[in-house]
Amino acid sequence: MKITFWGTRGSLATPGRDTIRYGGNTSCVEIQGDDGATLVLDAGTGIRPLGESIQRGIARLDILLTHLHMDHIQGLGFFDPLFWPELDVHLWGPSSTTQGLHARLTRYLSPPLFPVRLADLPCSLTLHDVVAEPKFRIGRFEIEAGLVCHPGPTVGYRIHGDGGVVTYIPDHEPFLGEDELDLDSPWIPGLSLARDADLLIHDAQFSDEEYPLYVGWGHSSIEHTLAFARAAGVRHLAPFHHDPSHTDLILDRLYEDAQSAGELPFELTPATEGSCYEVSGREGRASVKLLPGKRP
Amino acid sequence: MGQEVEIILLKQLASCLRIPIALLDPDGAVTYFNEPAEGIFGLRFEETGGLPADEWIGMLQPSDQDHVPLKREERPLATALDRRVPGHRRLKARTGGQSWQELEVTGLPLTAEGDRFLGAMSLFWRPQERIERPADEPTPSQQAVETILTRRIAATWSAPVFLVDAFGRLLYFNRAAEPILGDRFLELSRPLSREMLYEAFEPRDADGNRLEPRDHPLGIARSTRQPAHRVIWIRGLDGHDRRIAATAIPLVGQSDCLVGVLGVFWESDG
Repeated sequence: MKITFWGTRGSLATPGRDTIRYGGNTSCVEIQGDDGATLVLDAGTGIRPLGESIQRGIARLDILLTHLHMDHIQGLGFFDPLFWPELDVHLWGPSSTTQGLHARLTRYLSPPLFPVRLADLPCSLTLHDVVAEPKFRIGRFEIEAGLVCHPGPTVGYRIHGDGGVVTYIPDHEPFLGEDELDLDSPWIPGLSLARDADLLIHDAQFSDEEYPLYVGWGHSSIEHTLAFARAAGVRHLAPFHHDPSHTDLILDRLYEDAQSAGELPFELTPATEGSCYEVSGREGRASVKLLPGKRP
Repeated sequence: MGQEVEIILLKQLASCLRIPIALLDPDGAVTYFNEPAEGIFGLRFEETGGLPADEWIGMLQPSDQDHVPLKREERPLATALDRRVPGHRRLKARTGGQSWQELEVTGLPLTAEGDRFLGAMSLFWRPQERIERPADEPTPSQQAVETILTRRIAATWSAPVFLVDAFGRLLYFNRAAEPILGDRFLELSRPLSREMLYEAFEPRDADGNRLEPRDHPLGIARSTRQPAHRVIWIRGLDGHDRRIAATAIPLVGQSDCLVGVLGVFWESDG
């Protein structure tokens, strides 16, 4: 399967010269299966250029939302394929304890926040609640959603496709309230989603120095991300959801420091907008290859 | 000023649970309530920015069965705030700002380690006939996020706390519970099943009669998915009998599955 990062920034879109390498668009990742099935993970601002790249003629598209914070849904109304009448779109995401996914989404996709209503979108739209239905198939993808530690109903996704397992947990604070990082696996939220994943895409918003100021905001420090990946036994980690204040130079330095702090039992490549990975092989022995070049 | 991590954890847990929950500061102001509690207050929390004590009491008008307003000392949350022990009462309130409803209300004081008093947590539920529900799926190897958050909160709480899974098996008890139970959690030689738990602690009612598991607050909370409150006797693992006030809170999470039960205990003098 092929994984493309269309948006790697957290919280707020941050375009500009200082963020051009890691990118300024907010969370959006595309996964293409060998059978042509396409998954779109989150609908941050990065979904807009993804929409422009999709050729008309496809029959179905699946958008998997981890949660409904603005940086993960803001691009939805600007995603061209939603305006194609012939397209079958399936939107997956979490309900809350009292409201279904439809009611929660229409808070954003309705006036005064947005001029277009969900019901007015020309495509054929089907909503799925991943809290009620956490395991499902799309094409040859087997997908599992699991609740993770972040304010509001928030899930991560474990995607098992041809060639391996990709886990996507873009907003997560796995060690909230913990003074010591106990890597005892049943007591770390989200760990089963990431267990032995070939590629883990995980929240790494804050530096280790910044994190104490943001405890409870629902995001990880880089140290916590590395610990989580270590506990899960992943093969390749792509830290994601870069803080808006982290320029390219700051991110370079943070990850040079992380690499030089000690040997890691996995490959570490911070997510950059436009980069593509190929995960191929077979379960447990997949290869994760960063493809050369970048998507425009 | 940053929030105490205990309050952060409690807010996150409350947002995951289907029981109406409100958090109060030491002055009695509501500083947070979850989505299920919106039906109690008649508002979304985001619309309020917090509710001073006079304001929410004026809204809910907690009263007795004859609609006579309760005095402060009769209100369970005031018990939790003033005396720092749990308060529990069935009362009437104007929920949603409109209709009178009968509610069971439990107020739990929130005292963190180091004797830091953080306020109180209020649980609301509508009394109903006890309805037994079938057991849920066995607990998977990954603990649910609701259970994980509960354990982290319990570790910081100065009140004695148990955590059992959906089948009644003991998952955790905190340092404050060790004197009551007579042992350290880490010293338990093996996990305690529900049956072993009852054999070990020999729970009895106020008259000393053996309490069947289905009549114990933990058992009631497990089977009905409603909070339960009762004064009982237990025998600690050190062989000593203790009279305790027990409140059990079912952890029914976002998936509408029971993932565990939180038991909060106080030694009760009388």
